[in-house]
Amino acid sequence: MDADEDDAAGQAIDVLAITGRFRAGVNLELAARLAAWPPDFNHIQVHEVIGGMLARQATLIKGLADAPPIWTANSAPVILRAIADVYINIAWLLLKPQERCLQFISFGLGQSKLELEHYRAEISSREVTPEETAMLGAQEAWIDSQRATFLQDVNLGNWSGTSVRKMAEEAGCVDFYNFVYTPFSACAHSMWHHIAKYNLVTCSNPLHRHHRRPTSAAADPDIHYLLLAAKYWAKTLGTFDERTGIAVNRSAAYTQLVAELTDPADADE
Amino acid sequence: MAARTPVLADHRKVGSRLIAPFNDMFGPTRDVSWINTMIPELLWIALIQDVHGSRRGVEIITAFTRDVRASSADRSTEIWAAAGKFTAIPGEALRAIVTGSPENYADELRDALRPLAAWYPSHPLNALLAGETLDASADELTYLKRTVATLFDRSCKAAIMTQATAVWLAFDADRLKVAPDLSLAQFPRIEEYPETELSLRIAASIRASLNQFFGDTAIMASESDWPAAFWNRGLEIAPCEDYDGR
Repeated sequence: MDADEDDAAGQAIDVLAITGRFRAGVNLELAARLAAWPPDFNHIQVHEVIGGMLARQATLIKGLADAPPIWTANSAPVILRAIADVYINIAWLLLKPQERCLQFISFGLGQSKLELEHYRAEISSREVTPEETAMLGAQEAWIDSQRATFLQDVNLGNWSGTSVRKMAEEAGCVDFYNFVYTPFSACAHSMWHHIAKYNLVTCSNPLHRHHRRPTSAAADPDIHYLLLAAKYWAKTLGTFDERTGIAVNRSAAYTQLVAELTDPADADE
Repeated sequence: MAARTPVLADHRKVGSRLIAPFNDMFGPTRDVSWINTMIPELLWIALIQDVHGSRRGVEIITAFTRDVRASSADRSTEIWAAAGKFTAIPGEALRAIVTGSPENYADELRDALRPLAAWYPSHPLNALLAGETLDASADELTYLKRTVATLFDRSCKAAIMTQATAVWLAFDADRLKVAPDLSLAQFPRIEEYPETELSLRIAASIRASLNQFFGDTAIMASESDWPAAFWNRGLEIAPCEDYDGR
């Protein structure tokens, strides 16, 4: 896609300029939340997990905004699925933030310990390079800085102890689960109902029984995917604001993006 | 908040699976496909009917399969409709059945099967054309392609008459009997298809009967490799095509 592409009304829009303003808006909105929501050392895990996840959401949103070539049905849903995951996590965590944020951290530390042990098992029968020794040491030190590795349990299930669907139901966002998380999972996990539509094309030769042939055809970028990401960013902020009770201006980046794409004359305002 | 409309409430939950009502009631089914299996098995019938017309086509096929049934006790109760069934008969024996027949159908049978033999060397009835120089012409391939394309619509007249012939062979072999009050009891009225309500009902019965014949009871299915071989051969003799004509 060119930076200057005609929109539906025939007017040229500068996509890169618009996404640049959008990412700046996302940065401002994140900064505004963090400024209005200072850490509380009674429950620092809440600030670190929720704040980190909010920042992660901003990173995902900006990553998508910066990459127009992946605004396609083949690629964008991989990012959008991760964005949906973050949203449901935040919504569920904020229902019981003190307890659940500890649960979230513990699961992550356990996974890190498990990964470390897999590496150690793999190298046990051969000579270890200095780089590997340094990497394993750094990983153990990272775990130890939070909890002694030998005391850390490993949870082989999922971190919340329940399904994502139940998390969404509990957090009041089961529609988001049904209509965003699940459909985009098909692409993210390369499931049949994604690849059959996007990576197979039906042969029309009757002697070939209308079999499906693999294809990796290029797809035209569609700005719809950026709008979806922006909408989920606004939704994330809305839930965060509501559950934390902080009051800041609501989602100007999304509103501005919609305005600019709807009426390019607004772009310079 | 308004109560949510339940989804798939008619399905039964077993572990993490939602079992469809039909499967829940009748248990797992064995799929049988008109396109995957039945078209390759019954194409020879369709070709004979296309070349000689429905009425003469049925006469040729009836005479041929009666001769096959009469040729040995082992073959006397078989329904000789699916092409793959003929793999059980050695080529020499198959030729002898036709050439020794008091009925006069051999040339007509071979004429109709010639394009199939030319392009599909492993067709189970090819022994009937052994010794002939077969011309695998582009016209014949186009003809086969068009015929197969027509059969994809299982309810079109050609496909129905092909299936009716297969069901007729089950009657003729004394393997199918129907109650007098069923549509299928008025089987000959299929000739009216699709002009009369009765013929539409008979056609529906024919399709359902074939599903049964090619399904669990397998009295008509050959269980041979022929259907897969037919479609694999298609990939060898003609390129893939896109719907936009490329």
